[in-house]
Amino acid sequence: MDYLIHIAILIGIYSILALSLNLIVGYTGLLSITQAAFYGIGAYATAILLTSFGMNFFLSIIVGMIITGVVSLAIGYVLSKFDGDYFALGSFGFNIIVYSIFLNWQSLTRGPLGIPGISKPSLFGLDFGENIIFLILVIIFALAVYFTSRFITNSSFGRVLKAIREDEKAIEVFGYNTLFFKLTIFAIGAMIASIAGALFASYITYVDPTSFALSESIFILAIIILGGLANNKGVVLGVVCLVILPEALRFVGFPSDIAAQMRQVTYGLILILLMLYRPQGLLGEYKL
Amino acid sequence: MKKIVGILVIILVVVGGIYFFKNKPTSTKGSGLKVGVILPLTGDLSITGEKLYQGVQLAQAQLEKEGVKFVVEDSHSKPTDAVSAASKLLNVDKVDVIIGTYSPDETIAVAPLALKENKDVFSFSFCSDSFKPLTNVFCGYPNADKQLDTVVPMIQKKGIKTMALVDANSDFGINSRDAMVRKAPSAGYTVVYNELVPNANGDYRTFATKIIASKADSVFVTMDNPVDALTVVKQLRELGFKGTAITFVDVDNKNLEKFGSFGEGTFAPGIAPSQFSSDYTSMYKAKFSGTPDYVSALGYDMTTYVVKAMEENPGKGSKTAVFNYKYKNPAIENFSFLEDRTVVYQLELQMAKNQQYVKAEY
Amino acid sequence: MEIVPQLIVNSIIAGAIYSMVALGFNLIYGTAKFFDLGYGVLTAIGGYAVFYFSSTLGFNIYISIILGVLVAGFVGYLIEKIVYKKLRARKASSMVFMVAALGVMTTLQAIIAILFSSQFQVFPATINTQTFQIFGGVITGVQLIALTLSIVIMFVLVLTLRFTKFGKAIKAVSDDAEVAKMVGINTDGIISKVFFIGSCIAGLAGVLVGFDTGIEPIMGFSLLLKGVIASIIGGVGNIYGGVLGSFLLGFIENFGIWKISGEWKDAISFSVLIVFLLFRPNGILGKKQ
Repeated sequence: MDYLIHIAILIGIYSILALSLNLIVGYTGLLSITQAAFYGIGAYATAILLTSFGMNFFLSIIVGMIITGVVSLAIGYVLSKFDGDYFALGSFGFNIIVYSIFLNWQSLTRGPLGIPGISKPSLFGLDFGENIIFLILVIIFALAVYFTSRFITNSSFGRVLKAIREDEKAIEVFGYNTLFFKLTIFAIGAMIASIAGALFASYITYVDPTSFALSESIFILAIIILGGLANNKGVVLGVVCLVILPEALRFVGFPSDIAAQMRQVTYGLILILLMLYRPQGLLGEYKL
Repeated sequence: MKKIVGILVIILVVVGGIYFFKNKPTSTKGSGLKVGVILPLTGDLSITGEKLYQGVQLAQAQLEKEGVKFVVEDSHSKPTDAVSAASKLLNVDKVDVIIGTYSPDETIAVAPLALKENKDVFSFSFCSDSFKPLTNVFCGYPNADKQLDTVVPMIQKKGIKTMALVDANSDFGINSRDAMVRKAPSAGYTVVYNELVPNANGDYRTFATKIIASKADSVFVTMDNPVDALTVVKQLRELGFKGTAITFVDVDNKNLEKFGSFGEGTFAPGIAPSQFSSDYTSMYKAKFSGTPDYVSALGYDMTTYVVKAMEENPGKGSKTAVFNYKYKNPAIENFSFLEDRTVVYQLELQMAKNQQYVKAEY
Repeated sequence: MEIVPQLIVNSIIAGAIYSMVALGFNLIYGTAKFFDLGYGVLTAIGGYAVFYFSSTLGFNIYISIILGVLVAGFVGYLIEKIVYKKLRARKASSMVFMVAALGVMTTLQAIIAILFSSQFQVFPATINTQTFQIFGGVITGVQLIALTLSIVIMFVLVLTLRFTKFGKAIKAVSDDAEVAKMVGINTDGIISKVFFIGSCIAGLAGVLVGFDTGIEPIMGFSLLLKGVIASIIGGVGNIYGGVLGSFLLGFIENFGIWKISGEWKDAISFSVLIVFLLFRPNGILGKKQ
């Protein structure tokens, strides 16, 4: 049924986002709260390239990834000068700055008016307008991201990331250039998030700044903390829980006018209880 | 660990079960009308969403007696969630029409989905230019140009020559600014200050300082939230602004009361409380106590108009039904839809006097 | 009203409110050693408590203010006891604290919205409606009170920290909690009291904002962010630093809006934050570690 397909597409998009953040936070231990910014850059890139230039969707993903990669390297470089708490605060700051740019650079993004009329992808004449076909596209991307993520984390590159998470100073002593590793994974995570953004833009056919504010970054963080840091299966479980939860609440007769406030209460409580009793999340291997 | 996963699985199964048994998709052929309502009941837009919901509830109470079924969903003030709500209403509940949502971005996001199912969307949003190509979207709030027609005579009579524009950085604010800039040559004023301000900010003092420095005769304030607009006026007055203040907001005495003497003399195009039908006024008082406001009346009128039109024109689809129907006894005087799917009603320029909105005197 | 004096007054008014938030935030950071992102919501709690007492229950406005501030302090104290103390006992990392604080903020904001609706509210009575002229700039009575209070609180804190036994104990815990414990100081008790005092200050800030403009459930977050930026600019953990940073931030924002368009207000503040984090992370008055 179309509604279930819709939910499945959202789960797919958020899985890609969560997996991307997991590489940065879960495996490398960098508390980054700005993933929505990269999500947004990917979405706006696709939106602008498709509506103003008629570019092919898949090509726009590549362009979007390149732009996001460059921006994330700049942001990542600045952030690498900070540690711990300051890193998180700095990332907050970047999210807000990027959001301001989406909102105020109106000649490019049309600001709060948003960009409507984004077309669905087309490839070899195959029309992705049918939701079920779009879902298959999303699943293909999500699987690709999942396996890429697993490949990275199981490789020797991934082992260095985990070592950075556990004790950065120690691994520096061994001669590893930790800055290189941190920047690389930060950029990779950002580029993957931009793929999710492109899919989002084409699916909803409309983007506007409100979807990429700080609260979205916090939501993605909550997903991976719930599901389990540094565990890719856990991340998907977290996505399923937190995306299905508000939709399920639609059916379970909470009085309409407090339903979404109750959802916020639930999120907050989930975060608090997890931190108190299970900081590694449901399936995670890394205790924050 | 297994316990936690187990509990989660049970919760999901239970919820899934409830979903299946409660919402078996039913065919609407032959059964009563089913209306889907999407409103921002939570999130940034909930202030207006809650008010709209009051009006919808009043309409719902009457119409349910005639066998119409309503399903109300929350858009959480986010376009993505509005799409989820619309997907559920169209695909699971199989509604015949969507009433809502409130903001332009939510509406634009929902429109294509409804179009695919051949259903129309009656949005409470103001009539943005972005809606023009969306052939299945109706809007509920006259656009800036129509509202400003009531303001121009006052500007000319009072001899206002210079104007400062303060607009929220939003679809509504930008549309309003563009309209005021367009009207300037014909109405005879010059725009000497023009700034988009962050929405819902609270501290507008430096903007007020810039306005006073520009020596404008008048200020025209458009914010998404009426209280914000009145806050701008208050801060202007505190700093000594003596010019004419015009707010482009919903006219609601409850808001004026919060600002005491600072609101005095502020103009606002809109519907005065006295223009609501007596039926609606007593209906509102009975359920919510106090005088009704424009936003809830909009919620009531939109819902009643569309549903009654569809009841009288069964099987013709909401668009045809609405164009063939004459809406009697609206809450807002002369509420009716135009051929271009925008709405029109009797707007008048109001003025704040003794913390009440009355017909403007100038 | 003349322009530059007015801008200066605007900056000072903004700075006064930010400095209260920064003072409380700094106090908590100094002793508990984490960035309490849930601190901002206490301003909303203070404001709504006053609203409840004065509007719903009809108490006298001054009594409502006192009660409101105490309610905020008490809630902050409770949160510390229920959540942060347990995390401290487990020696949780600062990331865990931050995420837990985010959870606290999300939950409390939503509860306020459920209880009072998201509508913007104002208090039924006011404490002062006069306006004054200072060197060509206009300031209202409420704003003047806010300014005075922020300076008073700063001095009270400084004097308390330096001259009272309680203050010295706080300093000891800030410098090194382990050593303080060994010397016999009840660190948990000190931290609890610090949370109470800090939360009272937040509540007071919320109340003053309520009188100046109004209250809404999400008001705390942006106030908190400003307080955090101010603390970092001025020097985290340093009382004078927080206040200095606050007024500096007020100036940067208001003169920034004057020169650059108002839409970029938030971006300006955060850019300043990042510049400081890059070049002077200890802030203007912070100790070089």
